[in-house]
Amino acid sequence: MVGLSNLWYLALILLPIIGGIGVFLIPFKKRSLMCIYVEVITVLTSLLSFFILFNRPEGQYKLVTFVEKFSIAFAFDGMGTIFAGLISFLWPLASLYAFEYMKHEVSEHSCKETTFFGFYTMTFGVTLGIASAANLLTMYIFYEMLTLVTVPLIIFSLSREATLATRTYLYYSLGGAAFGFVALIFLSNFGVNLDFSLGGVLNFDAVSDIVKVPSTTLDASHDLPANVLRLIYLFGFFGFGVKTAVWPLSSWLPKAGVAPTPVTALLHAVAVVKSGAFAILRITYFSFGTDVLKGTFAQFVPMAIVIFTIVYGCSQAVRERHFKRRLAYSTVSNLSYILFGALIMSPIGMIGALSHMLFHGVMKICSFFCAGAVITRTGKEYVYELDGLGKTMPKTFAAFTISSFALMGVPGLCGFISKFNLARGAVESGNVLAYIGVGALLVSALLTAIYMLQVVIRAYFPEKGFNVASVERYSDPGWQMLVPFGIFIITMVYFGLFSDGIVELLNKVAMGLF
Amino acid sequence: MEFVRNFPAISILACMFAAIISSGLPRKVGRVVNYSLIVLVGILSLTTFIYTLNLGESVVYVMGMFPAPWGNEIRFGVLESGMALFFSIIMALSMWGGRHKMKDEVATDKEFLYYVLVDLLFSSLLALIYTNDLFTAYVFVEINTIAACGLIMIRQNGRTIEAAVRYMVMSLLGSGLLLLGIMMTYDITGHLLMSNIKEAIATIPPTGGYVEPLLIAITLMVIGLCIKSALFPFHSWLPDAYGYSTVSSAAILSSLVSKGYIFLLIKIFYRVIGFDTIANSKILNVLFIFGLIAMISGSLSAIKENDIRRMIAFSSVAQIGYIYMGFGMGNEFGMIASIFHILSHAATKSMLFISAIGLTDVSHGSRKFIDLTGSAHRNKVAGVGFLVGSLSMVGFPLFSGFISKLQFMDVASALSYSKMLPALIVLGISTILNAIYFMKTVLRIYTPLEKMGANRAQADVATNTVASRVGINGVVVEPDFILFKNEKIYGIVIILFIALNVALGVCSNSIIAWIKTGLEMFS
Repeated sequence: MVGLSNLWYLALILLPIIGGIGVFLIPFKKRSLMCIYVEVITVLTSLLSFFILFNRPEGQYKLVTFVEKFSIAFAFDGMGTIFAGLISFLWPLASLYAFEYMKHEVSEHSCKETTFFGFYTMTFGVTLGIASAANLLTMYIFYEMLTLVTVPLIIFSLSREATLATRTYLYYSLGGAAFGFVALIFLSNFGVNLDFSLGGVLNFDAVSDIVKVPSTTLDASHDLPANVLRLIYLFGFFGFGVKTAVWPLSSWLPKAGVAPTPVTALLHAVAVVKSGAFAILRITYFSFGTDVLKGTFAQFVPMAIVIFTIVYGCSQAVRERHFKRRLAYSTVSNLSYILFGALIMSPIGMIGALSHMLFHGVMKICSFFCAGAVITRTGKEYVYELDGLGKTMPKTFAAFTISSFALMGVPGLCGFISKFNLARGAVESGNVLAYIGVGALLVSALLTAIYMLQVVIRAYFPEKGFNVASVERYSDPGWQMLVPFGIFIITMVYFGLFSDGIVELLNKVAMGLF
Repeated sequence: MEFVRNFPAISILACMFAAIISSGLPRKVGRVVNYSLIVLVGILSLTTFIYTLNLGESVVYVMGMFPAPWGNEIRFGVLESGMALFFSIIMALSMWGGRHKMKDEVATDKEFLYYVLVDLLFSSLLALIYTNDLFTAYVFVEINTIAACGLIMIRQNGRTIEAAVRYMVMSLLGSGLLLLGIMMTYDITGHLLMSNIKEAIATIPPTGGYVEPLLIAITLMVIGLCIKSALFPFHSWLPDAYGYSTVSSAAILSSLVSKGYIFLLIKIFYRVIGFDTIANSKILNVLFIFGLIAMISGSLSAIKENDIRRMIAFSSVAQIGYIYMGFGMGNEFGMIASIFHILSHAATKSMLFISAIGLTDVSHGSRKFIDLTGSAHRNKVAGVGFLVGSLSMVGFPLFSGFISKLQFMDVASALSYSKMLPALIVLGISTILNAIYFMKTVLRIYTPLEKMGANRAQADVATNTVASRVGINGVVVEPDFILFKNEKIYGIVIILFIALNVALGVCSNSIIAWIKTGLEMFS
């Protein structure tokens, strides 16, 4: 099939952004009209996105060239396709969910609902920009924009807590991006160019352990010992790692749980945090290249921290009694699974990372949506308040139970597939630290079982002497919330049972064949 | 086109002449004279710029046809004329942006003096840019100091008088050191014209007895100009001077006056001493270290500040630090990055000052953060201006600050490790600090006021309530709203500022090319 025109990329990114601005400008007579408008824009973008993904245009689309080495350009490669596919799948469902949820969130003290939906839709476009960026500068620009467009979403309730959480988020993100930027500058000077290409853009001489400067930028006297670049990689890793909530830079994520649930679910379990993971995968495999990094401190230091984060996130989740914050800590831990896969620095590791990126997205958004459904229907936010709700909200808790099992890694559900691939990658790498990582995965699975099943058990089997009448007035949410639940359950089971296709695809991506 | 050669001299003289006649004119006429003067200088500079660009080399203009060593010289190339053009633009925008505040800030019978002082200040800035003579430079430095003191003090309240006295003392110390340095150089070389001094310095044998006196002379000049441009630790005069003066003065002082001195310093580096000599001396390393400290300490002070104007002023300390760090990198690329940052900071900082006044106007003149809550909704244009300025300061892509950051990091990545790592780390930390205080303010001004009511009641109790907002009967009086149509000129100024900022951010390629050619013509 003949490739599409490159202009489609621009359409893909601009459609939700302009559509989002439209939410502010169009005076909707009724709330339902606005909901229909937002859903139409989101679904159209998703369709457009899948259309482009299945007929990818040839080559890059260069929008602007600032200087020779700095340009804004778009292209979907394998990894971008995976990420764009994930968010295009989730976004319309999350919007649908938000229509029902936001009714309960808006109060006279909070921002207007149009503010929420406007920025929510714009975020879609910006995230697609990250997925489709063809070089590091483009990705960086969209990455910064992502920080900015999500601010109104977090601060939405305008409570003091929300304001503080937003500040923390802004400081962490902007500061992290500054250090990511250092990595960008070094790559621009010492790499051939900033484009993403599997294997990296550095001119690495393994024998002398020196990175040679490409003749175009500086003279040969600037050849750099590879260790300096590895240090810079650490800057980049922790800079972009802020959004992925690597310990010790993770405190913004649980705090940001004060945002409305559609935001915590979609942005703080998928779009924003996975953009961070995506960026780290990009710089590791596509910019610095694993040749330079593998087997050095640039691999071990981050890996040790990531392994620690896996356990830390889980244990914090066990300790935490606030339902949404518990899930947020679980996200901290699971994001580090992805980074662990990335840091194994082998194709199998990348498969593990990518598959966990996909599957964790679905599992975590599902469990967050359940938490949100509980909040809208009952107003209960703490785990110890959930007694007996399993009987009155059966569909919600069915979804929650399945996503809990998936997160634990029970075979037959999708979480098992990604954990299996991560462990396989770790074992095959022959790296001692990675073996410890496998141990951490096991510990984490145990802890996950504790903190997720605690909720499930409380919901289905309340303590003796529990007054059933106190929960009888609650019921399952409406169809706008139930439809996403159904779709997520089907997805989790389907990919748990028939994972061959997707793993094969990821394999191709990791080999650079797709 | 030979006539164009006279334009720099004409613009300096026109400013002085305008200052003289304005002192006898009514204030309205003085204002018209001032505005048309700025426009005239802008046009003259643009013509000169195009002329030098076509000529491809810098021009030495001998005043009154008296050759050196008796006469006085002006020398201009692309960089000088472009800088003069840029200064005129900022000057014009700052004056227009602060125009509506003039009646509140300056007593009506003193207003004509304001224009006299601005005209004088402008003439001295142009002279600092164009002159090729060290002693002339000194004279105009003094004129600059006196005019700047007047601009601070013309807003009559106690704080400005204190600020002006502080400024005066520090500035005179600075110019005193500069004068000493110039005299010692004259003693050693026997010349005052920059190019002659350079020739004489080149003949000084490296082993002779003149090397150390020369080093001391250079050091004195550098320290003098550092004090005047508020490099850490000589910045104590700055927050009061920028924080309490009239808004136009603050914008002009922060974005132009300190930059004029820095430009003179660059000129001394290139024309008097020669860049290679200075790069090999240790002076630049010292500047590098102080620049780094300034970047951190200025931002830390800004974070602690509870007053929006003083916060912006402290941020200037940090930004001056960036410029000196660029010098300290010790190569031509660092110099280019610094000069770009001069432009970028001038454009951004004046915009922030002008926007801040719009925000305080709708908050009953209070400059405390707590009272500024929601001000961006009450004055939308000012809010957008402040947002853009803040983003530019934080280094958000597509604005001018991003290009500065990119340039500095780019240069740093090619330095030796002992300079590379400190520079990179401090740049990163400084970005975080900038983000902290600017984003805090942006969130504050965009949080709607009426919605804060309930939340504030629990959180921060009555101590912070605006006294004036609660009327006599305890009735909450809503603050005024300022719409675009009420303040057209102000709105247009902010829009122009934003356009300038974006232009610097997007067309950076050609601007950097211009700076490069300018520096080549320079020495």
